[in-house]
Amino acid sequence: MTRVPSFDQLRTEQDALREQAGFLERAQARRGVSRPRPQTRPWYQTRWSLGAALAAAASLMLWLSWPASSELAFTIGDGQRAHAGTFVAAPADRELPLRFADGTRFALSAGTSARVASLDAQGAHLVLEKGRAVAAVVHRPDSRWRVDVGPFQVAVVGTRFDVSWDAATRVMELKLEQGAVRVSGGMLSEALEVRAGQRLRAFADDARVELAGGDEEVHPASEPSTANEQPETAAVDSAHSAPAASSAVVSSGASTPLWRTLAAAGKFRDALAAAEQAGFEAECHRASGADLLALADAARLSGSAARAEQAYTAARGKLPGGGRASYGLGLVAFDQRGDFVRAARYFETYLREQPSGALRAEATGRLMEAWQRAGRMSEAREVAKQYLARYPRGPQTARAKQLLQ
Amino acid sequence: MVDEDSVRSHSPQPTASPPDGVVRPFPGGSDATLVVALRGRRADAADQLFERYGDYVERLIVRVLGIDAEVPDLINEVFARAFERVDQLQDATALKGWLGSIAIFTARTFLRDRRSRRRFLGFFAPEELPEVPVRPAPVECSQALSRTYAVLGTLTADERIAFALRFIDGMSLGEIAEVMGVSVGTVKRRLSHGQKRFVREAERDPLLKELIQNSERWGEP
Repeated sequence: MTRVPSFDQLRTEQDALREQAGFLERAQARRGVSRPRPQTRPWYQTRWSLGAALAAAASLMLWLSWPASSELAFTIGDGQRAHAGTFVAAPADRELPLRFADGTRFALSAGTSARVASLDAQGAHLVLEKGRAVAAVVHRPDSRWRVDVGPFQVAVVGTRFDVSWDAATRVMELKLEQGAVRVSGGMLSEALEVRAGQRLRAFADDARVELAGGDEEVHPASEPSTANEQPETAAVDSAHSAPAASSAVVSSGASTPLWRTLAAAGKFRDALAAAEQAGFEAECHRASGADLLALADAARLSGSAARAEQAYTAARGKLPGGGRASYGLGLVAFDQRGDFVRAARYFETYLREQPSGALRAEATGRLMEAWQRAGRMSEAREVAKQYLARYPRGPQTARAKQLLQ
Repeated sequence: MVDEDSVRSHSPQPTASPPDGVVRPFPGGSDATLVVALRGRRADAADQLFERYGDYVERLIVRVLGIDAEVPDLINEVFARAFERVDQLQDATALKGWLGSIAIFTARTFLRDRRSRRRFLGFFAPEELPEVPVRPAPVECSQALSRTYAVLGTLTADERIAFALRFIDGMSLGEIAEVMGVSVGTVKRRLSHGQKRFVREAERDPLLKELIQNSERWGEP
């Protein structure tokens, strides 16, 4: 059942979009940028006289050229001084360097075009319109650099990176050599950090990013499930850690849904939102069992019990023996639904389906606790005996001993 | 004696000292004071005008056009026109409404230009494509928003403006009349025509049909 919004909700949504778009900031950035909006119709269609048009252009120029604050000086090529708003196009046969007063350097590859949209004392705002730029940004405590690449923004403090924009396919490629940058805009609702050694490809038109980690490239998790099982603690810990080169990566060769990348980066709420936007039910049909476990974990860790159950159930149908999906369903029933009998049934199912599963100790401990909380003390004591026999030093040992006293 | 041209302060940090150390902050306060400063072509007055009403102008343009890559340039066009014509403003206390009317005039001109060009070229030029893709949001909401603006594209510029300001922005009929520079009766007539066209298009779209039913102001004018 879909929820149809009202016009008031459309207004709220539009306000969020316009804030995200930063129109005012862009308008301000273009003040001092001597580039009036291109004429949007042929001259012979205009209703203005030439004189009126010139007067309007003059007033726009006056407005746009209002003075800016103190700013970094920069030169183009062999030392030609330039100012904010300068459009720069590298020749077709050679690179063109931009050198800034603080030592930062951008090398535009042959055929690349870019614009230095604004400058201030902390850095500059560049717009890469087409082609490739290799940047070496000098780190200073207060430096603030930004490169707009299509719909994406790359925020830089100090780093070396290589960025390109293919205007035809609308794909951005970003390769970090040193430091870290934050990429936002486009389909990203939160900035994505890209670190040294990582390579990001962002597809503006189909809401997809690929993040690969240098030499430690990881391929998409493959079925069967037992090889992919992760202890519960590892999944929870990822919520608190920044994506490292070796952990927040997906294959650079395969097409990866955005929610998978966000889930891998520990951005569970964003991952769930991205899956909703892509069509949650459709994703449940389309995704692999391993990916569905990641989606279900993201939903569970962001508090959406219903979506977590939906994805775990879908994963169960795709993974041999159900994988760890039953265990996940048990966690949802236990932690979020408070339905301890149901939780116990799921943990039992997991233990039955996965005789060598990596989560058997956790599942047995949870099973014992679920029966205890459900008031089924005889079942709880029976499991406690098994637990102590198999895991005498396990984390639930104290509970098991207490039950047996 | 300080030369007027050397007096600068810069939005959004009006208190920051410029490098030459010459500071004479804009005296803030009423719109009437601001208009006087604008007429005197004071540099800091331009910044103040932008800071005070930039969000308002942006909001009006976005309501009429939707999320569009041309919005930043149109914002600057609005302020450039205001800066140029500030001497023609008769009631200095009506600065906001006057700016709103310039914003609506600028948006209307842009819409008509775009329509002419589409008729002429028959397709969307690349620079017209929105730069801002949809963020993760409730699917129905983002779909309804984009479909609403698709239907608004079938209305005349005046109908579209009245419709967007009334139903999406939630402005009163009087406010719309002020920024459109017409009578309330004219606004009602444009809204009525716009609604009829919108309903005709929405009949084919269940989402928009329900959207209309969910909206309290629908059918009021």
